[in-house]
Amino acid sequence: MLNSLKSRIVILVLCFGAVCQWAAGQSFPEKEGERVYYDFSMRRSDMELSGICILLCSGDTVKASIVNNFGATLIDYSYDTKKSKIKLHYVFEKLNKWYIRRVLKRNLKKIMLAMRSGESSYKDVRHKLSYTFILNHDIEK
Amino acid sequence: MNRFLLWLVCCLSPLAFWGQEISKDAIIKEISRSAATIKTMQCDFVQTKRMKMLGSELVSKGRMSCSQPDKLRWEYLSPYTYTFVLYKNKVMMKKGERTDVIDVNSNRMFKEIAAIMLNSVLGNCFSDKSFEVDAKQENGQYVATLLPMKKEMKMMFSRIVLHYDKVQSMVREVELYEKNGDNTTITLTHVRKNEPIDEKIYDVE
Repeated sequence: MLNSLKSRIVILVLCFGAVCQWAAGQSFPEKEGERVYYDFSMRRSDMELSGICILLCSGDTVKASIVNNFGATLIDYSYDTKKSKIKLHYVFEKLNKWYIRRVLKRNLKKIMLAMRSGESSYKDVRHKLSYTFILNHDIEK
Repeated sequence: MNRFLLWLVCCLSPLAFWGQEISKDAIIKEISRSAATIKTMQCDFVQTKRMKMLGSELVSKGRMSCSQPDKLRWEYLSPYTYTFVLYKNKVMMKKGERTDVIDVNSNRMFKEIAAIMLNSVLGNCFSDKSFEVDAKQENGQYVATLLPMKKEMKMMFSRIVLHYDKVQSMVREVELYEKNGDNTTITLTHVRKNEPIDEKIYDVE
């Protein structure tokens, strides 16, 4: 009876793990040409930037754009999934200072890892920045 | 023979007028004059953003209401909901549970965004020195290309193009070109001019 209970627990844990893996996979584009959309926001005490983050799988690279609610692009970047490296291709001029770019690169790398794990937020405690990213399936339709 | 020549001149002279190009100043004057007659405007819009980096488009839909000189409600309905209201010197932005109210005088960027949103749909961009303007007639409509001169606007757009419908006497389409190669087209549909608008929709508090 104990063996039967043990095997049931093992099966349950395996199934739960599989579901988590599936959920994480849906939150990050893995196949060539696959797109994933997020409602994205970046907050600090005195300001908030919000909009949409679009991820596109292109080989070993994920290309991404963050656009504000009016559709104006804030950041274009790419993420090398093998080397776990971020490259900034375009940063909105107001944000285009070397010290902001440095923080952005670091944080975007953390955010990519968080998205891959199916998480929906990241906090940069040192710079008092908090990011939220919630999957938006409506945009795909 | 003289009668024949006279007849020929009378027939050909309208062709000369028909082939004549309308000047840039005349186009700007006509668009500005039409903008001045619009006290209120309501419409639906479809916004298509073409992203160079991703090689794809992002389409959003919404509705717009404005009352001259300084009231605007710009509302995205799909694929996300987001509301932007300009009322005199205040801007209200609402997304989900969060609402922010900002004084545009303390934030030049917002002031410029609000101004371009209001003035581009009305065709009211020519009165100050905010833009260097070129205008021409093309495919039965007027096309005005605006190059930003102010710093805040230059940060956002490399150029703005207005497509003006001569028959309807209004702007039908606005194209916004960004520095990273992206461009956005906003097409106005179901346009209603000078109908009464309940001022409550501009409530920012």
